[in-house]
Amino acid sequence: MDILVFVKPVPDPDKYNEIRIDEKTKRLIRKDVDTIIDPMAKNALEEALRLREEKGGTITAISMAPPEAADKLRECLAMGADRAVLISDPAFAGADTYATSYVLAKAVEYITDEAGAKGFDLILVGNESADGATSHVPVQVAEWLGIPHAAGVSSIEMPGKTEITVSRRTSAGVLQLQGNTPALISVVRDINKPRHISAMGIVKARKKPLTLLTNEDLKLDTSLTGETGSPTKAGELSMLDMRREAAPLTGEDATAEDAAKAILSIIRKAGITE
Amino acid sequence: MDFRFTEEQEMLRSAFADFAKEEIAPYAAKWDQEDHVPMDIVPKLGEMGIMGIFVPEEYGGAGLGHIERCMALEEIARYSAGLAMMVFTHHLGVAAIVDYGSEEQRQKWLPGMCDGSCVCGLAVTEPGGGSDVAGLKTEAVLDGDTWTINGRKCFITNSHCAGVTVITCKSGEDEKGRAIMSTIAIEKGTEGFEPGREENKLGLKGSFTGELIMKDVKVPVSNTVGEVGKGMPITMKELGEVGRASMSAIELGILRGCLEDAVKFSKERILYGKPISKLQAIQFKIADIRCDYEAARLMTYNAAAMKDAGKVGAEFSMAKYFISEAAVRAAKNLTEIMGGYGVVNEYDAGRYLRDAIACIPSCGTSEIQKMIIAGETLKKF
Amino acid sequence: MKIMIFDQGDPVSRQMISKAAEVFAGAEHLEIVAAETKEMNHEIVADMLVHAVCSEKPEVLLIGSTTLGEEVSAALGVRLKTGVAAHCVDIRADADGNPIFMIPAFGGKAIGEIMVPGAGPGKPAIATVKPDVFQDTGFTGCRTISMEAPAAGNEPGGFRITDLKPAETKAADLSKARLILCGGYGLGSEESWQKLTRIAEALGGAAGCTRPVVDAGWGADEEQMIGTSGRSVKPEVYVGFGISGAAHHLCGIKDAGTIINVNQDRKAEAFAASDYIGEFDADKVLDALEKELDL
Repeated sequence: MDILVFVKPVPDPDKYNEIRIDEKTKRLIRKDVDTIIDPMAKNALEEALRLREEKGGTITAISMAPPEAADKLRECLAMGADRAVLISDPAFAGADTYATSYVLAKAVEYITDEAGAKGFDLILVGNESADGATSHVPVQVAEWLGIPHAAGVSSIEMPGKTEITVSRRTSAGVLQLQGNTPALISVVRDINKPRHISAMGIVKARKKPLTLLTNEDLKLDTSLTGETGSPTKAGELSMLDMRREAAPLTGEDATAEDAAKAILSIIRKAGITE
Repeated sequence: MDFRFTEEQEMLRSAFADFAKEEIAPYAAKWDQEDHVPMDIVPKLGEMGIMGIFVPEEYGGAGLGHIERCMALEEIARYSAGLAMMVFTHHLGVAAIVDYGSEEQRQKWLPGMCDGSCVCGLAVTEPGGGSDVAGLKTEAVLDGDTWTINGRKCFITNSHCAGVTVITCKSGEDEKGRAIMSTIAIEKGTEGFEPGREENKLGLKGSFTGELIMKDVKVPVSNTVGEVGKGMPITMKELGEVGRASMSAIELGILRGCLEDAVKFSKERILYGKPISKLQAIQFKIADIRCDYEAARLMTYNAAAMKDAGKVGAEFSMAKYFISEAAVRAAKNLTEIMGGYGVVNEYDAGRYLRDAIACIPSCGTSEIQKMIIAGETLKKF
Repeated sequence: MKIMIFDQGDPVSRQMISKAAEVFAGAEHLEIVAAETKEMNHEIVADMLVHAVCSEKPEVLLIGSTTLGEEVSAALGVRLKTGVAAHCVDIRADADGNPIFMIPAFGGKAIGEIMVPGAGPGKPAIATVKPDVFQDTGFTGCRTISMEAPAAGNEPGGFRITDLKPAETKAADLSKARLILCGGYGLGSEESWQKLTRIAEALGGAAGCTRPVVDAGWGADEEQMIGTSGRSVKPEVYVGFGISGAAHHLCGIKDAGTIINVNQDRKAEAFAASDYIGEFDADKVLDALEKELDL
């Protein structure tokens, strides 16, 4: 079973409170910002690893990112992917979800043709990234490729060779859907707990291939990629100021009981009765 | 001379740090307070490749070196020096088997030691003395193909959980009446072999430290690790190289904990209307901890790199001596920076101080280290 | 200016209609049409909406941000070759009456403007909207069209729905609640979380939580998660227990009336965004509240 996993490097969410944004370019000040593999992408890779344990096959980790992201792809190799591909070119930068998904879809066609394989069986992706959190890129890649997609998935079962059963939570309850490969599935955090990267994994990763693809390889029309190919345009960016008074709830040397009384008093004053 | 880690080493360090943050940091204080030995984390350490990090791949290890091993110990000790003690002692015994064990012993024991199903130990110290290794009294008598072992070891880490313990025994005397040693492996459950009392320690809680009692323990001669009679050089080499480098890495972890907590606390603690990090007295303490930390880091990884390159020297003793004393200094500084909070058990400063002090007698007290350092210096300079 | 709303039959549809009416009130010939269906299969709904857009030719299409809504809006972006703004928290009109969508970025720490310059009738600017970000003003000037299911045998390929296990969610409680007690990882235990839910109930309020609480498996529902990736809430009183204050959570409660936070970690980011702060062990304060309420 051949599985592709899309991986995105994002600024470390634990360090969000340290982020600063350049007022003029409206971009993240990338200097000194630690990046990690997007958490849901790790869930996607973990799910791919479980499916490979069950059914055999290969896993390819793919990322469209600046060249420094190569180390994140090596982490994917260390976690267990068989090969990794980094798609990077200045022509692809500044893309919105539409242009990003277009490049990713074209790259998938290029990679799977290159491998001489019939294609792929499954594409697994994190449902939404920790930074943009639109959840749109996976769905749009599937649309460009003309394959079925299912988003927000919290469990995947493949009893046979091509049949897939997935479930997802909605406000009405848990929905179960059935489809066939090839398909794209975006997964949410509940689906699994990603394994730790081990020393053995890192040693094995040394011999696994990591390829860089630029537009010289993909040969895409640059009016359809990057900022030029994006139907959405970004305007002003402003930091949210959510600061409030932060007055102490109680006096000095107060106890938890005093705090409880103070809270109840505020609730009652607002006219919210028990 | 490039003092930086390679990209792969950085990836390893990151993987160890992530593991420690998730699996160790949230529980370290609890393990210390309850003196609980977290045996359930051992298989996870096995999966991470930490238990057998320097064991060749063919036996289930990660096939890496002592730099990587020290990295793992540093990251673990940053949060739990007690757990790091269990791991390093395990490495001591494993190293003896990797370096000197027979092929049969390696095949039999190393896979389990790598996957975490078998914790290893190394036992040298006796009630009669730890520094006086030559004076140890545990006796092993060879009759045909069987050793009979009698004696008592104390202050042994992993005493109550080791599946295999490598014991240094007196197996004979030379013409001058000096003791000849052999290192012999004894499996848990062997008749006559039992852990005895368990110590209640001031620091490094969360690891077993106790007695081992050997009463007419019979094991086959094939349990000898290395050649019969070579126990002294084997013990001294493993303690001196693997042991001291490990203690350096563990104390380095404690030092880093002190440094990170000192910076964090001083930036948040407001006195006289501003964070105490603005006060020079506090800044001077932080500068001292920082210098000690940077020196400790260089000394630890220098010693580890030497070991990986097959070189030996007093660097191991210098690292262990310097860093263990520096860790105690840093922990004391941290408690002073934190004032009242430094002596309250809700915070980690007290644990760092107790752990740092408890590290000193391991693998040779500071006085022993100084003797070794002086000996080498007087010859070299 | 024609604005189409995908009506999934939930409150957010009325909220979007109200907002559209308000923002584009000054437009020439403002027309708002709601395209509705109870269909839950995203492939079928996407097809339906493409048809509806082709026949009505709106310039703007607003879709409620549910899993279905996000999937459908993304698909439409490619099928209609247009731009999609996700999770907008505000909509404005520029000088020419074109929409500007405000969306959260970097976990809610920043808000950015998104425009779709190439939009036009039949190639609408698409945006998804989270529930309770806008208010239902009771606007009635909206026309409704019912989207038809495909004839049997004409269903699109792809995934088909095979089962639906209804589950009660606590989501609705949070939208309407005047009081919300919110638990964070600092609660420390499942017991503490259960205490919080009992107290919330006793006070006639709702219980919410942050992502780490859901992950910890203490019994909190994902639907109770408050933050830009979960729900936004606007209670009159919000009391946080053991909340550290990740940016996306703070963004989800920024329009609450009075914000109180209790945390023994005096460095919690949540404190700066609170009206009242209490440096206490959250669990002990919950104990004290239980006692006060005789629970």
